[in-house]
Amino acid sequence: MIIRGSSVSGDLKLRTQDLVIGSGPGGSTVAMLLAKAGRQVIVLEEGSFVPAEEMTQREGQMMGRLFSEGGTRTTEDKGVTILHGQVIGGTSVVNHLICFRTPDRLLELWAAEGIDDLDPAAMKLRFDRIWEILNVARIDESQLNRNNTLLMDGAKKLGWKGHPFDRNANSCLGSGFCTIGCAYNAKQSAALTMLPLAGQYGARVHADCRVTRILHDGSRVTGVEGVVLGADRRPKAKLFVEADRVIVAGGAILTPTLLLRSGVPDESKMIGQNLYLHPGSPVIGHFPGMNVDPTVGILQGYGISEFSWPLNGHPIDVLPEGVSGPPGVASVVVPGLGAAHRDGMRQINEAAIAGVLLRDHHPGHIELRDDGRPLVHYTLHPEDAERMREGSKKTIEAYFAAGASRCMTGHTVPTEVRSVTELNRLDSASYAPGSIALISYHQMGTARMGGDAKKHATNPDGRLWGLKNLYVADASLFPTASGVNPQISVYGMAMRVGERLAASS
Amino acid sequence: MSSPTRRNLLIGLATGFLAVVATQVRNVLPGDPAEGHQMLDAESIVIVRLLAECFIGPDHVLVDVPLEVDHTLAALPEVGELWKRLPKLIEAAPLLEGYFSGFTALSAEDKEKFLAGWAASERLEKRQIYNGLRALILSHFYFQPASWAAIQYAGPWVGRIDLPILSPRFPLEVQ
Ligand SMILES: Cc1cc2nc3c(=O)[nH]c(=O)nc-3n(C[C@H](O)[C@H](O)[C@H](O)COP(=O)(O)OP(=O)(O)OC[C@H]3O[C@@H](n4cnc5c(N)ncnc54)[C@H](O)[C@@H]3O)c2cc1C
Ligand code: SF4
Repeated sequence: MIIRGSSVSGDLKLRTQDLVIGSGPGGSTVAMLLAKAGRQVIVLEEGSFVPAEEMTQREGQMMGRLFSEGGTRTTEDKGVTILHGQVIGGTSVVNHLICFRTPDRLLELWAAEGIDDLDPAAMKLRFDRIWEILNVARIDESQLNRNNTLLMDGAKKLGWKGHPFDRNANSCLGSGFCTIGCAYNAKQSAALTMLPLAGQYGARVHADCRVTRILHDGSRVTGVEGVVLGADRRPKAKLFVEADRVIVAGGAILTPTLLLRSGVPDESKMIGQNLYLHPGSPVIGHFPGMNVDPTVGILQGYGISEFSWPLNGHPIDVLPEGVSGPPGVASVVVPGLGAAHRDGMRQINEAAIAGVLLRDHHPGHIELRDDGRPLVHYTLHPEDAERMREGSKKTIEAYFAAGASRCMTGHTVPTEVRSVTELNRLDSASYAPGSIALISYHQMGTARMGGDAKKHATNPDGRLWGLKNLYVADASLFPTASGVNPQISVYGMAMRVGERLAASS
Repeated sequence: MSSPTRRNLLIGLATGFLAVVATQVRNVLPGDPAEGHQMLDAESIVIVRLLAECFIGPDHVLVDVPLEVDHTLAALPEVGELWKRLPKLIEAAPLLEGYFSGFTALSAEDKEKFLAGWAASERLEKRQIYNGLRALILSHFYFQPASWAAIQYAGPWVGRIDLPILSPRFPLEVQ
């Protein structure tokens, strides 16, 4: 059962056994498992419930309704735009449906942090279950749009590994509006899968409820306080929930923000640290005379895995993926100003766009602003920047192999390459903040899990080392950046936490 | 020209320049919102419109970009308060960089040169402001249907192509 803020009158005072904060992949999965185990479960979600009928496919309308801070969040140096959802179902409502089971290399790396039961065999059982609930299936090459087949053609000509993605869809129509919500219920987000299942088992999901503070006495949590938001997104009433256990799943930006705001004990000093943003940077290939029309079809359908460390052991550790979006988003990615930008936009139907997804090796951190919101400190480290440069060059090579006439990167000072022999033009291009477009779709690591209370914020059960009954179950748990699109890793890690919570109740 | 006269002239020019800069700096503070707007004052609206002309070209007139930007800033009170100061900052900045007028009075060529200078600047703050304003203005222009014909974007399917909404695989109860 989802209860909208509009149906709450007066202050909201509740009591429950298990309280979950956040309704994305992490929170919804834990809520489902706990409710199924017979626990009393309440989920509090700051975002609203937005059904398919209200998805207008208009960016100007939907960005504000579906994204945290309307999609305007950036790092403190403004070098990276940070996108994450704020809606029932969390970021899974605005994501692009790519499903990667956490690669074995990564599982081994994470297990080495002292996390048990994370071996490929144990995780396979969880992933199989998630696959079924989310209706995940591999898309066929014939379903790819031109934007993605061009990247694939290039990779194939160069003999590089790559493949169409697995996606959590049910009869996807290929409308191309995934970033601003699916108007057809084709995207099998947490809002349409884990949450309704949790509801069937008795969980109550309160939309429009922002938790502002976790209440604790230094060793135990007693509940939370917060506000119920009105239609204008301003507080309209107070919220207080008493709970035996609290599970925070607000995503890797807002989970540590809430924990820091609540002053929870943290011997490791790792809450808010270890922030990986997995930045993506655009590469645009021009194919004059070809109708690429990147805005229509399955937006993100193919990736080159050749240069990925988790998938292929490659040291560049990047994953170029075909991706695009509606024109508002595209306009920011198309470089230049004035006539150059206008021409770029007018030629967008002849352009193929890829995002070079970087597994960042050097994290940033989050601290609290005076007003309690997050201040994200993250600057692309020179070593990460070099790998991004190499990844961009590889992507450009793929486009030239596919027949591009010229390629551009997302540099603020437009950087154009007209043939592979000109690739060295990228050598002098700056990756300093504000010199290159970097977008973070995937944030992770800010309450990392592990076996050492001095090094890890959460223990292998997902519990904060310093508190007896406070848990984390979202992308914050990742010990490192994932290097692949993370939603299935979030579902998987949360399932592991949820199973333990259910077993210990 | 005798040297005292030249000195007087230089002092006069410098004083005049500083007075202009001081006025501009005072003007950096946003005034009351213009009619029909919630965040931007009348001067900022003019500045945003001219910025839109630089970033987008003549087509910018197809969309009331300042109004669209104003709506967004109003809907995001925490970030809006900061963002609404930027247009005035841009207006004042050319005077500090050797141009003889504020942004609005620059020729079209100088406006573009000034902005390109910020895009390529060694100074992080300038690149930050340039990128921020660019993203805000471009996206708010291309969010609007009036901008779509020129880029052959057909727009949302909703309202144009009649397609059914699938029944959820797991029933959902909403109150
Ligand atoms: C545009 C885009 C495309 C993406 N595409 C893909 C993809 O194709 N494949 C993939 O694997 N991943 C993708 N991702 C990333 C993926 O969706 C996320 O990694 C995943 O959803 C994270 O899950 P989570 O549970 O950690 O957090 P979220 O999904 O972000 O959920 C957290 C929820 O908690 C709520 N919340 C936070 N704080 C509070 C509070 N104090 N009180 C109440 N509620 C709170 C938030 O509003 C939010 O709804 C994409 C992301 C974006 C932005
Ligand atoms: S492409 Fe498919 S999943 Fe994405 S919005 Fe369109 S129908 Fe929904």
